Amino acid sequence: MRKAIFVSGKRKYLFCGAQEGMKLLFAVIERVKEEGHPYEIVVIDDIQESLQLSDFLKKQKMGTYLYVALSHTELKRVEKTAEEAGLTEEETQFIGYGEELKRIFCCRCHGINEAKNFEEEILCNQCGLELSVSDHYSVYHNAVLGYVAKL
Amino acid sequence: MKWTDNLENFPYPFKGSTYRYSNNSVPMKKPFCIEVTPDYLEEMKLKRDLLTHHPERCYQSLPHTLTGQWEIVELVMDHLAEQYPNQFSLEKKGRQWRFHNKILEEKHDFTFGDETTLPDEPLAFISKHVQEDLIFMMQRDGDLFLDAGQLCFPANWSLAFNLGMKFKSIHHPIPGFKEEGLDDRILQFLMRLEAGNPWERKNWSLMAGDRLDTSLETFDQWGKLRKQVTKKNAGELVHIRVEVQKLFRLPRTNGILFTIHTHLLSLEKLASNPEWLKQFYEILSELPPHITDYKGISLYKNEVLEYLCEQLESGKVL
Amino acid sequence: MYKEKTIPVMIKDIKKETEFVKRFTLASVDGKPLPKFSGGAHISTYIEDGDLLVRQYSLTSSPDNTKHYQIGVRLSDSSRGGSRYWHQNMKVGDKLHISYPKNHFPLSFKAKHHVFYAAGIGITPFLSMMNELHSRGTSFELHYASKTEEACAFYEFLQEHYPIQCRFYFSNKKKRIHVSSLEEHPIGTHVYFCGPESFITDLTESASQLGYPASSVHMERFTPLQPKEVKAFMVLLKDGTLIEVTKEQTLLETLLNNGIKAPYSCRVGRCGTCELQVLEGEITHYDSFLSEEQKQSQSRILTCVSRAKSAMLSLDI
Repeated sequence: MRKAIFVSGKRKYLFCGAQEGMKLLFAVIERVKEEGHPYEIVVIDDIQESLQLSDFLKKQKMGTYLYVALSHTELKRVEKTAEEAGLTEEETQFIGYGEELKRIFCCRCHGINEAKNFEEEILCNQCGLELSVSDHYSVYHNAVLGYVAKL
Repeated sequence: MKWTDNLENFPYPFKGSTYRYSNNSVPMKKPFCIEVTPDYLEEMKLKRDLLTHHPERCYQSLPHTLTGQWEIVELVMDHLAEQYPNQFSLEKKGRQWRFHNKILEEKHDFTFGDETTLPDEPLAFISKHVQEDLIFMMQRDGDLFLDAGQLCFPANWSLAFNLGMKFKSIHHPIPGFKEEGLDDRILQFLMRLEAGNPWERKNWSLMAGDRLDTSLETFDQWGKLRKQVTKKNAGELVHIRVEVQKLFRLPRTNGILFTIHTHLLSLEKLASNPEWLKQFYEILSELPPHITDYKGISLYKNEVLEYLCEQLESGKVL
Repeated sequence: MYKEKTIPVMIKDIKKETEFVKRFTLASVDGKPLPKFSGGAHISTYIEDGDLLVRQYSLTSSPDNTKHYQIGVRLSDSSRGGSRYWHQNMKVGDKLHISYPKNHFPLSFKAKHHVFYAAGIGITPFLSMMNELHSRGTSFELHYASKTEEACAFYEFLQEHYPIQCRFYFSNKKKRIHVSSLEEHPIGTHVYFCGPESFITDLTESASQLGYPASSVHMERFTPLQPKEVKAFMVLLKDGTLIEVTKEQTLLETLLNNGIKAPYSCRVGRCGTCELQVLEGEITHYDSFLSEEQKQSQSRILTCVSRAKSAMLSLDI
């Protein structure tokens, strides 16, 4: 699992996450408190709260740094919200927990398949082709490429 | 129809007796982004068929690329009309343009900058008049992204998968490319490409068969031929595939247009030139495994070498 | 040798913007349309005046205008010939060559809001950038410092076209751009600085202290970072020749004067064309092209601006 790392030199720190995720941010929150930096904590425990997050983020000023800790299934959506608000990867850290599914793009039919992280070969659920899972990743599709497994 | 070039027109890609990945780009002598060859009619028919029946495989674009697409329309039409005045003409009256493709006997009147006056998106539209595949890379926030493209004749890659991808990520699957620092150097080279000063390079691979449309999407069909190569049939079955890639900085959007013109030549024809035969044999014998693997040659490299060797020996006898 | 292609142009019009700034209108000699350009782009101008004077100027006209280009030239106190020639010799009808448009100061694509900070003639690149954002309907603001309203180039143009987005700071009215202005920008803002070195340094340092990520801060210097203490050094070439680079010359100039076909293009440490491999010796880098990592590797040099730190450099040329 990725660990939250303290990044110094920011005028304000934001911590967002579910109760469980907050535990993963604990060490960084303590450090920010200790050093006396301004900060805010937003607990997201349901979808409604994550929708309000967008307005909250847009009100922030440059120099703000965001930490998010959520289950992998919820994390992607919040990542998108943060990006749409204008936060870049230099201003954010996203910590996921729980089971993480890999998305696999079928080289033949372009269908997206979900698979467990360790699976190396799968059958495309759309066209039935046997796919070998590669490490070629597309941010745009949020998926790795699945190649023809057998000729 | 055999999708193969004549010897005279073939853009032979080799220099020296070894081959490694490198940025082998050179400034263009004649700065035209397209070339019309004797195969124009046949290739346009194939291309249009592919675009009609497999649009998602052959054409992809992100919505923010329209200005760049128009820039490409202008560049390609200007070059067609300037270089091939008997085959193409372009009249501009302000924003009212008339493009005439005399080979295909098609006339198009449209308003430059207004997509509603064209039958397709601008990039898709102009790509139906040139043999080249057209790739539009946007330079944004300090990196290059493949944001639109028309690709009918790929060398085993997927436009749909690579859409919106950064330059270095696109090249991630090439073994040794990153390790040798080539991805950084070539990216830096491309980012410093200047308008008015286009560059070109040749890229090559071998393939079993003579298909121009070797998309990743259809690899399960054409890839099988790799297993059928023998010393006996290699001359006819195996082809060397050369892409002439041209790089133009587009000044309005600060993007880059890549045009890719794909040529095929059977080993048989290649071997009919004794110098080429000798040089290619040397290069292929020496090629390290990470390159043969990536270029998809490993399965039949030995058969090809045996074939070339035999040709060399028979040459000596003659 | 890499020599860029150029476009022959003619001076169509000269307007006095302020006491020290003139605006020149250029059109192609053959009447063909000029290339369009992107917001923030500039051209190199080539003038034969005994020596060849090569200078870079931002294009201030509209990026879609292919009939003519405009540039704004400030008469520099320390002019080495460039701006003095433009101000004192250039007449309507004169011919010269220009490069195709280039852009080393592009707008951010992902920015939600753009804020420009200009001092003096530093306004010039922002004119085409604002034009582009305005036509795209993207939000922006300009903070523009000048000595007086009279000395403020393009003041009327800006008031007319972007009255809501512009704020002026005239030092004779005791108004100055304060770095605290950076505290007010919302998340997703990109800031752009253009002006004298001290202006850029102050703003850049403040942005960094507030926690702005480096990629949200953009700047264009009029001149490359100047070496504080220039000293002469020796270079050793591959064929064993040893030549001296004097205090007055750049490494590139010395190479060219010695008949060596060294590559170059921009001459201000931006394009990377003049890069050479350094086999031995320590380098002080003054360019804005190589990455920090590349600079630290001490294995390559941009000859147009960078110099030796050690007494000698051995070059792969």
